[in-house]
Amino acid sequence: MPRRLLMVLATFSLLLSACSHAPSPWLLTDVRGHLPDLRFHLINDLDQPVTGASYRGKAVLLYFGYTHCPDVCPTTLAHLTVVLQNLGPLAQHVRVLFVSVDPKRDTPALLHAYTSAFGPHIIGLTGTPDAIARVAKRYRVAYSYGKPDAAGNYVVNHSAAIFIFDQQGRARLLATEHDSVAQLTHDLHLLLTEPNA
Amino acid sequence: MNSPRHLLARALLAAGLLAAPLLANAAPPAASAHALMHDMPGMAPAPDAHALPAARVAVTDAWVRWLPAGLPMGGYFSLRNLGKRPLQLTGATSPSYQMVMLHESISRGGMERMVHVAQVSIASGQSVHFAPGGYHLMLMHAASTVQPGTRVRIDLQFKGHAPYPVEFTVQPAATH
Repeated sequence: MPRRLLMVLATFSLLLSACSHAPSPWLLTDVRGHLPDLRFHLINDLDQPVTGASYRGKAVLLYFGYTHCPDVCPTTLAHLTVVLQNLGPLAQHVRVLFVSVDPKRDTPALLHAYTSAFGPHIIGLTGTPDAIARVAKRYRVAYSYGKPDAAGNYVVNHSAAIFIFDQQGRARLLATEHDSVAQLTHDLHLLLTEPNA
Repeated sequence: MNSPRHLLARALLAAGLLAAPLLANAAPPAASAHALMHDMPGMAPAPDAHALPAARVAVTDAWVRWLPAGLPMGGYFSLRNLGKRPLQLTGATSPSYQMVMLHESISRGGMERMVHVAQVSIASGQSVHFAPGGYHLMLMHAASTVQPGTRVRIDLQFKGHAPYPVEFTVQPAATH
């Protein structure tokens, strides 16, 4: 009997400790304090050098991909385009940065044609292989190249994570391709209307 | 118990950020995919091939996500085998593209991979969905006439049958 009472008490204390934290307002994964601030040195799709600081004042969605990817990358960008549309006027404070992990093929001009097909708030970034590797490493993003076929075409395997930074460039949220438009819209709305935003 | 740190680690794992190699140019895990690529699309049907009656197959929701600058596009559709025998989809060709391949996107541990698919079998009465994030047609080197709002013909190749023409609508890049 005392043993059983002990178990009941243990269960209660568990429940209490679970309740002692305020529920997170975020639907995506809160990474505040766990991932580094937005920092990079790359080239934008207008062939201009840009850094993380170039996007201070904007909430940034950082995504790694490549233009010769006919399925997952454009599907993700289409998904994010809907999120931006849902945000209405708040979308002017958001930029989607599409970092190419295929700088050999993704010239600024090609990236510009590609991102323009989705919307004005989506920006393509490229750079030297080293500069891209540094950004990827900073956010623990992996990518690798498939063997080229006879025509020289190759696939690029890459992480599908979307890193979300606030307007001060702090890493705040992590989304995957499985997170819905509704979840992304909810959290971005919250991020953009924070009192200190 | 789910401490915030524990949850974060799980999320990072799910996003492929911890388990995956940190180094760029790591050995590609695509070897098995290439081993699959032996059915070259675009081959003429066998001499004894016969036309696939429309009553045996239903293709719906056929569309292409348009991309600019000659980039490869993805083609999507749903296919139902209405016949009594299994069907093997082995490839596709199109007068609007130089090359069409059956592909599959595979998401594992947060890493996205794209592999060639030699054939897709559809049992009697079953359906297969070529949809974003899974099976798709990789459409390469489009004719300049392929633009959002146009239609393109793509001939699906089933084993033992003549090409089966399907009309796809070309949708804007941001189609959700």
